[in-house]
Amino acid sequence: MLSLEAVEVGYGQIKALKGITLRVSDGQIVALLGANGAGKTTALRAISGLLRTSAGSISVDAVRLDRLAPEEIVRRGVVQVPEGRRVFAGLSVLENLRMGAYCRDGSIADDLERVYRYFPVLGQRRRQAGGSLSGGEQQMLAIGRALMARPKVLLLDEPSLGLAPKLVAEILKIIRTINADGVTVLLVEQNAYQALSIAHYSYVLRVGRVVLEGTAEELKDRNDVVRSYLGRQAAG
Amino acid sequence: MLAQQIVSGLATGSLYALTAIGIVLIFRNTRTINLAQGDFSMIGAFVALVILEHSGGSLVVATLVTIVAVTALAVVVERLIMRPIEGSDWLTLFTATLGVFYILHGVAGWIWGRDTKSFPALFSSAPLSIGGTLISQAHLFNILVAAVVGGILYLFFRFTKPGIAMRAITEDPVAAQLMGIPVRSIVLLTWAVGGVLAAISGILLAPLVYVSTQMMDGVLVKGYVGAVFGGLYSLPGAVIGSLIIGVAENLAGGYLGAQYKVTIAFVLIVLVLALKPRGLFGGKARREI
Repeated sequence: MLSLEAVEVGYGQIKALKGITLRVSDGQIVALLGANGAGKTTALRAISGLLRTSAGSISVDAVRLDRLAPEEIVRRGVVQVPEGRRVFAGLSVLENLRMGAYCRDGSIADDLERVYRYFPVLGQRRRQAGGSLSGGEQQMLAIGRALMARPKVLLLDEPSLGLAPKLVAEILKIIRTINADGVTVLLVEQNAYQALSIAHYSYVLRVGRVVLEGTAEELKDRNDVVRSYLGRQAAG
Repeated sequence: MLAQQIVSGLATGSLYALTAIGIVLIFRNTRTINLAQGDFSMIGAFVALVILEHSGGSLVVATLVTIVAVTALAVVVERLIMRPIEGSDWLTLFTATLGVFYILHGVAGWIWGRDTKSFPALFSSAPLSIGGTLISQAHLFNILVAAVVGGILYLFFRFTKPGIAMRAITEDPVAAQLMGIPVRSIVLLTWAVGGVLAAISGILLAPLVYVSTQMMDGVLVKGYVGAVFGGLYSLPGAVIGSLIIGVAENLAGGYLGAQYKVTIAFVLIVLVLALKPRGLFGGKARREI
C-alpha cells in the first residue's frame, strides 16, 4: 500500500501541497483529480523523490520513501509515467525499454515480451527512434518503459493528455488490464469523467488540499460537487 | 603535396577530436563547457613523462598509470568542485571550470616548473609511403588510436547499459531519474570517460607539441571549435569538425604561412556560429551517435 500522511510540499514561500493524506491500497486503481494547479503533479513528483517534502510522510508497505533518491524509490517498486510521456526521443524503442529496467539485474527478455503483449506496436517498432512514434504510441512506450521496472505501484500523470478520444479509451483499457495483472495504479487526471470510469477510489484536490474523496459511485452521485471543483467540462 | 597536407591534417585533427569528444560528453550531460579538458591532458603528459623516467621507458606502464591518474583527477574535479554547484546556470559552471583551468596550470608549474620539456618520440621519424603519399609513423599511429577510441565509444553508447543511460540523460535527465537511472553516478562516469580521453590525447600530443603547462591551450580552443561544429551535442559532428580544423589549419599553414594556422580555427568558429549556430548537422540541438 502506498500512503501519504499529511504531506506538505513548498516551492519557496508558496505551499503547493498543504497536508494531503491519501491511500492507495494494493490492487486498486486510485484516481487523483483536480483542476490545473491543484497540486496533482506536485504530489506525484514528491512520491517519486523529485521534490522534497517539508512535512508529513510518504511510504510504501511501511517503508519510508520521502528521504530516498529517485532511483531508490524506483527500486522499491514505485515507478512514474510522467506527464507529457517524456520518452527518450533519440533512443530506439528497445533502448527506451532497456532504460526502464535500469535498476534491475538479470534478463529482461520476459519483461520485453510482456510489454510487447500489452502494446504489440512497440514490438513492431522496436528499432525506431522513440521520437518518431505518434503521440499515442509514445504514451504506450512511456507506460511500457515504466513496466520494465516491474512496479508494484504505477504512477500515471495525465496519460490521456493530448490524445484522440479513441486512443484515450484504448489507453484506459490497457491501464485496467495492467491493474488486473496485479499492478496498483495511482492515476492523475484532469479528465475526471474518464478517470472515474476505471477508478476504485478517488481523491479530489483543490489548491493543495484533499476536498473530496470516495468511490467512483459516491463521486458520480455527487456530480454537482465534482463539477464545482473540476469545472463543467471535466465532469462531463 | 596536397594529399600529404591533408593526411597530416587529419592526423592532427584526430587528436583534436579526442578533446572535442570529451567536451561534448561532459557538456551534453551537465551543461558544463569544461575548460579544464585540455589541462587534464597536460597533467597526463607530465605524469607520463615522470613515469617514463622512472619505469625504464616502458610506454605501456606510463600509459596505464596516466589513464588512471587523469581519470582520478577528473573524478575529483567532479566530486569536489562541480557536484556542489550542479544545476547552476551555465555561466557559473563555466566559471568554475575556468578556475580549475588556472589551478591546474598553477599546480603543474609549481610541481614541474615552467620549462618546456621534450617527450621521447614514440616512433622513428622515417615516414611510410602509402599509395605514394608519405605519412609519418606517428601520424598514422595517432589516426589509428583515435579511430579505435572512437570505435570503442560507439560500441559503449550503442550496446552498454551505462552508455545508453548517458544518452538518456542527455535527452531528458528528469525522465532518466524517474526510470531509476542513478543520474549522479552516470554524470561521474561521464567525467571519468572525459579523463580517459584526455589522458590518451595528452600522451599522443606530448611528442608533437612538447610538454609544458601551456601545451594544451591551443588544442583546447581547436577541440572546442570542433565540438561547436557538432552543436556541442553530436559526437560525429565533433569528430568531423575536428578533422576539418586539422586539415584547414594544415593547408593554411602550408599554403598561406604558419601564422595563419591559429587564425583559421577562429575563422571557422565564426563561420559556423554565423551560418549554422546549432552545428553542421542540425536543425535540432539533439543527439545522434
